[in-house]
Amino acid sequence: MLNDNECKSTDNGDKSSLSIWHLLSEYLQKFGIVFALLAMCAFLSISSPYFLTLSNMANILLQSSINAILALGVTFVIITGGIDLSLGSVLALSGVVMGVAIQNNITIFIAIILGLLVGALCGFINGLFITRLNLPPFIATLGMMSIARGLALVITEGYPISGLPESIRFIGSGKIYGIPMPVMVVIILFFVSHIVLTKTKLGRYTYAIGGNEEATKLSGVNTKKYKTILYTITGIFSGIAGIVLAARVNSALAIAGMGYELDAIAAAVIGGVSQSGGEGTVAGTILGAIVMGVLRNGLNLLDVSTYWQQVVIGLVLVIAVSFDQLKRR
Amino acid sequence: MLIKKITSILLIVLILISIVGCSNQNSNESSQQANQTEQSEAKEISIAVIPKALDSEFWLDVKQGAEKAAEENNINLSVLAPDKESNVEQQFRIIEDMIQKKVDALLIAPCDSAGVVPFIEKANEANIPVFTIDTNADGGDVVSFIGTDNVLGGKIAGERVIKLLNGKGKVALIVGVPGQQTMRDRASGFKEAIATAPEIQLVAEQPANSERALAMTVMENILQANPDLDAVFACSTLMAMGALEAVEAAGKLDQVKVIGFDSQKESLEAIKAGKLDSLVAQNPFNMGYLGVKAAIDYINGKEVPNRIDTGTELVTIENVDKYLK
Repeated sequence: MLNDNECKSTDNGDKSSLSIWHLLSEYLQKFGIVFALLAMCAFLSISSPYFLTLSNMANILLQSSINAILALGVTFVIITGGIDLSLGSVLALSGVVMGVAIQNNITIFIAIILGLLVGALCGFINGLFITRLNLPPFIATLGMMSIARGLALVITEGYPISGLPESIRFIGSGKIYGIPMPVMVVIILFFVSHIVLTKTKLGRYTYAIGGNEEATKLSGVNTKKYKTILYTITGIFSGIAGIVLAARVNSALAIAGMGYELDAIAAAVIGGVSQSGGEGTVAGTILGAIVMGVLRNGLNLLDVSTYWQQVVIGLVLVIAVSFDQLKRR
Repeated sequence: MLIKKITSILLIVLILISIVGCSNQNSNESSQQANQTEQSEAKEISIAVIPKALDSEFWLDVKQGAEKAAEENNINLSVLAPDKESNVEQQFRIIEDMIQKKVDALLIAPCDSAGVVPFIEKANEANIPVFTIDTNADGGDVVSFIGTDNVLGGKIAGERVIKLLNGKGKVALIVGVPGQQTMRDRASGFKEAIATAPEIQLVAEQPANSERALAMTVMENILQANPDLDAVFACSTLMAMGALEAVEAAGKLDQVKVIGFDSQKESLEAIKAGKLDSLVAQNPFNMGYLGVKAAIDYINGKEVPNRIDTGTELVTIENVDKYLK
């Protein structure tokens, strides 16, 4: 992609490493996820007659959508070499703020905007923590994870806000041209993220910061500003996910989305977004989210308990990242 | 590179679509075959039970009950639950997956009574009968709710109080979150029972939101106002433990009998130690067992009542060992 040259530069042009094994592993890393997805689908369609049906495929896409939105958001900061652990909590806070706004008879449109603003604000504060207080992203967003969750609980006192109006529920369960709304949201966000990352200055700086932050700063880029913007974007995406989730389950819960950050980070990493920064594509992230959706759906159809599902997803994550490491060798 | 990637993705989509297309044709044929084979042998019923989680004794008992009923009736059973009760969306995803699996009946203990409604409606659209266990849903087409009759449970507690006090004395009631249906039912059952004993006086009724610490404070205040209190019924086990702590701190364990609702290891041990008088225990095993049986009956065309009580039992020092197994 656009930044292939930059990525390659980390290889230092070491010709001896260009062995067949290297090429093979690089190929596997680039397209491995597609092979993995196909292999999983093949396996699951043999083992369960209910897997490979159009309605189940639509079901998987719908179920993957929340994770995909969060994963797309976190892709931006992982590319810079950062991380955001507050995704799930910000999701809950945004949903709850929207819910409370609706309860107080605020127009639905404004309520949604409020939810998104809260997401953006959380992300912005994450950015400030990281760039102004020089906190490591892990710590700053771990703090936000607790702060946002706590605020969501404070606002609702722990009660669910249920029975949302029909127009909100449409976002969760409505369809446009036969495509479920949550999937539609993912498609739109996919294109937006793709354009931002590949066609804009912000996108170029994102990869540059991930590749070598110091060098990027020395070449005159205001890295603090851009990093803050990127964390804000991640926050907005979490906010969108929060609204879609609340709409889908017809209630805004302060305890919603616990642990979702891990699934989202896993999806991005499985999709080839590198934790060491500078690499990753939105297409990969989406595929990563679908892989996780297929895994969960398939394991449910095969009656595998959710405890084992966690084990399997952990293994897949480790295998995916080890391909990444092989490539770097 | 970009073009390469896009073409490769397009290719995969094409492959997937063609696979789906072919498999649909195949499945049409094979389903016809399957239909024939199904007709020749008795069709195996498959039922999915979806508890709130499987992380506590309560839900494991539900699972055991469901498994026993499945074994007795030789059916296919799936028990799948989210990893924790708060993971509401995961539970709903499991419901969707089970609809895809075309199970013959769904038994759900909704993690969120309002949130589950659109998913019950999805199952309704797919003509899959839905049963709720333990907790009912706020809407959707539910064949039957299989759970504790909380009014009856409250009555049992009230009768225990009458027996303990020989029909004469002062009692207090500690209720849960105001507005919670189960809590309201327990309290009203209790009040109904003690109303039959004219010489029993309800001197206090206070909410403690099912919180242990709050129940302790509430109980301290009740004891201050009513130093001659004889008994207290707390509508949950946590509140009973909180009230017990207050009674113990006041040195009134011999005077004030504490009765709770729901069994838990710690509270059972308190009964064994002679501190807590008794508990009204629910029967989670029955929720699984009677739930699966009701679903099988319904599938076989039998009438199923829309409310099935899974029973409650008073746990006292005499039968506590059975629960402490």
